Amino acid sequence: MLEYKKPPKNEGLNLENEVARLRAALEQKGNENSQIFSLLEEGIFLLNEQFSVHSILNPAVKKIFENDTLEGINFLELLENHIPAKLINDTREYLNLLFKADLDEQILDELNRLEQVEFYFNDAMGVWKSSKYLSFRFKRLFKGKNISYVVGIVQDISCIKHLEKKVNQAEKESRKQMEWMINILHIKPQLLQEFINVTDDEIKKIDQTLRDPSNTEDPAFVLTKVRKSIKNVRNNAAFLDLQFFEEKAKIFQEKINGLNEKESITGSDFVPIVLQLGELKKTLQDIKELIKRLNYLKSTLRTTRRYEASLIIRALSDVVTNLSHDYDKRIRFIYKKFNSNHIPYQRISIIKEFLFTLTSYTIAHVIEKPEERRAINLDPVATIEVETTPPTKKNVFEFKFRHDGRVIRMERLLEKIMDETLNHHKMGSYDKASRPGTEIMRLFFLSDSDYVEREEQIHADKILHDFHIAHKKLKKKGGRIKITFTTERYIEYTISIPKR
Amino acid sequence: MQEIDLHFFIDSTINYFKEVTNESVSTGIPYIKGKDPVVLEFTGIIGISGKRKGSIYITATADMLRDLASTLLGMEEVNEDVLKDLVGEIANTISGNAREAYGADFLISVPVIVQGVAEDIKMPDDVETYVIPITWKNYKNYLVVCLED
Repeated sequence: MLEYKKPPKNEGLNLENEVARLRAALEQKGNENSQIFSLLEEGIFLLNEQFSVHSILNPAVKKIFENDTLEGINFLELLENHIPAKLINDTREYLNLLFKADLDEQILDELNRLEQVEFYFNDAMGVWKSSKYLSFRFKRLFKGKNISYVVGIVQDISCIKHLEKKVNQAEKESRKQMEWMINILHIKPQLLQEFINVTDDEIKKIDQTLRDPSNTEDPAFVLTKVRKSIKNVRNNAAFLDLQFFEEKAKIFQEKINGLNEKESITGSDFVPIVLQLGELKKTLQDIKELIKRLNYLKSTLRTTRRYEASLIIRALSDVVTNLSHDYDKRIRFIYKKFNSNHIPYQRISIIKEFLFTLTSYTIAHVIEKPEERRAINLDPVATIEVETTPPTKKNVFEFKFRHDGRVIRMERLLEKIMDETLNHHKMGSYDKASRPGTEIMRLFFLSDSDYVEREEQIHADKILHDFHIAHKKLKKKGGRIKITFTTERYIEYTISIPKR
Repeated sequence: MQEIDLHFFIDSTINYFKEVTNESVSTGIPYIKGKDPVVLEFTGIIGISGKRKGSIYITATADMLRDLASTLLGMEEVNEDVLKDLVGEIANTISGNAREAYGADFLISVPVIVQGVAEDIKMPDDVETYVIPITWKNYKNYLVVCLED
């Protein structure tokens, strides 16, 4: 508040000093106000009845509009090319009403279409570059009974809006990605990668076919080529049970089939096809990104290699316990001399598969039930033992699997079958009567009866088939199996596999 | 982008040629734009903002535009300004039709005319761009469309 002091006796000079003092005080007050005004993050500007922007405005306005020369500009022209024409027209009407003093300002507020608006910024070519989300409020400034100016207050609420948008987008995406992840997780990584590579190639082929100008003359040829590629994509997706992808490929095929029914095909008939191709490309890209994120998670959360190796024995132990229970057998599982740390990391998968298959086969079809063992003066509790041999050979990992199950000839037969089955499949012939399961079952039941439960036979076939697969994989990696028959009634498998 | 969008822009362009020249015009097989530029000597660009953002441009050769000038204006010798105007007129027609079709909630820019094959026209990265070859009197032009879903 300015204080007026009564001037002293030398009036002329004192008056001058007083004026100077008052002027200085006013200037200082003005500076203070300007400072406060300039610190505000909200933009404040004045509009006259012609909607021209007054020179009194704070720096925030220029920053928000990204325009340094606002003074004297028509506010509605300022909005042009930044918001749709309809909003500008509505704003014109609103501002006109705002200048009518007899109308209630609060009621008029509802006509403010600029309460929250997306403000577009384009590049030099007129193409959209970026957006700001702005919130405008307008208040009347009275001089007596008349409205001298309308005060415009503009706030940049882009952060909040962008965040809202991101959250909505993320919610939508995460639902989709969760569904996809459930679909993808059951697929082996190598198969998934192969699918991605093949689909990528087929999409590229379709793309090339569409863009080749020489093909324009022969749309039917284009359709044939595209149909072939999309069929491959769909079949691959179906093979891996990637339902969401298969569905997109199916839609693509339907679009192609739609064209087949047309008598003559023109370029613009391919519009649905090219759009669907775009859709497929995007989906594939999304899958790749999802896999990247899954891989990141996997590598962040992955267990140590040592831990992974130690899991084999734990898992094998569980298999022995569970299968023993299922088949009413009693089995002692010895693994003291099995050192998981010696297993080469690259071989964990194949060794695990082999051990599990062999253990399952042994428990299900080789080891006798306790009463059978007692009948031939054996310990009713059978033994399965696994052991890693010390790493004497530099580049080879070796381990042993032993059990004291069934009669020795069973294993001789198994040995024979391993070779013969491989040969059968190689030559393409497979005599049902001599299939491994049947032979085994015949041997199992020779002493008791010739009757074989079909389910058991099928089960034996299945396990032996798995064994055959595991054996094949082992051989492919350069592994070998040696079966030793000992007089102590232990049958021993020695499995060796190159470390790399 | 939906089929209806792409068909709309194609039809706008084809109808322009049909109506002003009375001659047939055909569309080639559309394809997805890759990294290679699709820019001929004269280009008219239209920006779209609003609920859906994007961009459309029509790009043509000088020869085509000269032939068009001859057909439309009866002018044999034309300077570059006339050629720019012509491509601008095609773009304006598309732009005007788009304003009418998409409604007042969209902001359809006034076309910007670019001359020269030097650089590619930048389109939004996260939205697919589609190229439609349009042939008028053996001259090949391109309509390039990019619009969010």
